[in-house]
Amino acid sequence: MTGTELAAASAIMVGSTAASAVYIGDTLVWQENTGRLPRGYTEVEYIEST
Amino acid sequence: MNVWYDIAMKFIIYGQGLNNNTNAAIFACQDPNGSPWPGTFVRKSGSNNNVYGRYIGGTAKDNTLGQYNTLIELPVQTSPNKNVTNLSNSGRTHSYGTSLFCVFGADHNAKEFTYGRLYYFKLFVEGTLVRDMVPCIDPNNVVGLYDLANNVFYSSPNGAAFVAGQPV
Repeated sequence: MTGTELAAASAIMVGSTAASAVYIGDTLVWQENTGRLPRGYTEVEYIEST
Repeated sequence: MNVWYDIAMKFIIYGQGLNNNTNAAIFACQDPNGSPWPGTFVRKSGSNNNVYGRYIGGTAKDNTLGQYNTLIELPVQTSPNKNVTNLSNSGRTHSYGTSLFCVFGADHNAKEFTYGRLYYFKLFVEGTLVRDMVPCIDPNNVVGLYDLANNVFYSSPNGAAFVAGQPV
């Protein structure tokens, strides 16, 4: 795990051979797509109709 | 052509959407010519708060699935003769390719929709996977379902955006 400074926010990149993700604080702002969806899509646990 | 359908899905129904006091379904299919309910799967009807599962052709239903606010996961059924998830019955011919399928809708024009969560949805026709819907957020930050079987993304058709769960 490495840390870096992104503008005024603190960003942490978590990397492995399987996936990478970027968090600002506790918020996931980007995640490498290594799953079954095309690049640019983020799979989520569910969708909700409200 | 009368064909067998199988479904596997995981969901919660919270309640009815527009035109309440009518119906709620996490999945339904309907003849585009207007014949109601040739096959409706997991339906809440009228004032009864039970979630009816495996509602087939308007003639058979099973209220053992639970009620609103219950997480329900249905594995795919594989035996046609015992298959309570198939959407055909002896009284109606259900033709794949001409019938419309609604997810989160109880009506083909989406005027009746359902408050709920969907975790996955798979539709099989004669054992072949024809819809494999995965909850996701598209590159434009729109929440919807991506169909892995056809490489098509579906968003909400009625202007009320879906809310996404946590990334997986």
